[in-house]
Amino acid sequence: MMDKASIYQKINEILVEEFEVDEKVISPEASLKESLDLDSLDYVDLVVIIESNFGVKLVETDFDGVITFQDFYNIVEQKMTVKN
Amino acid sequence: MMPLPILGEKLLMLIPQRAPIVMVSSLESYDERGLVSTFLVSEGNMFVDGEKLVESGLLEHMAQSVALHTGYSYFLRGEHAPKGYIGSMQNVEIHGLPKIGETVFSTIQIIQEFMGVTLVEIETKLENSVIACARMKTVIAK
Repeated sequence: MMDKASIYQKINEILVEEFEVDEKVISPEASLKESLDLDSLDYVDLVVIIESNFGVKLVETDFDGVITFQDFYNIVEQKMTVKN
Repeated sequence: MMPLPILGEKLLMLIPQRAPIVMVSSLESYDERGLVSTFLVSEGNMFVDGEKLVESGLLEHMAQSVALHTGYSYFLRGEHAPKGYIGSMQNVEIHGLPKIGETVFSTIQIIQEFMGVTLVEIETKLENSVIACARMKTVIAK
């Protein structure tokens, strides 16, 4: 089972690759949407890469209240805990 | 549920497009994760140039096949086919174009649906040869 640090690092790696951003824009307190320049079409890609890398499926309500990368890490981590 | 294949007037109940921009001829098979559709290229179609369907016509057929999946799933829930639009296309490959009188078969595989956006992979065949494929996002208009 992955620990928190490994989950966060893996998420960062796949976000950098998928959304072609500099790793420096990613920090726990930064805005997920603004840092990755996400539009409404991008969220489906986000859901796909999280499912393919972590085996958990995000749904619309998971994004309620997700503003920062830390919020996003928490959601993925929570889902993984439930799965395991 | 309608018996398959679905064509003609019944097919038009499942898509928002109307003549002269109807680019699907039948729904051959359907499940929650995908479908197989066909399109017969006919003389006078606005996407035909000379004897062949042009690339944009093939892409429109692929997009309407996605709309058909959405429309049929709405029909099964007792709702009307929604209007939508192409959000993006990626990894588009076109290897050939059908001629007037030929029928293409398209297989749609739903990768993900999220917040009204449907991400699909589409493969179009002509006589068992793949002539086009693409990854597409379609969006249901609100």
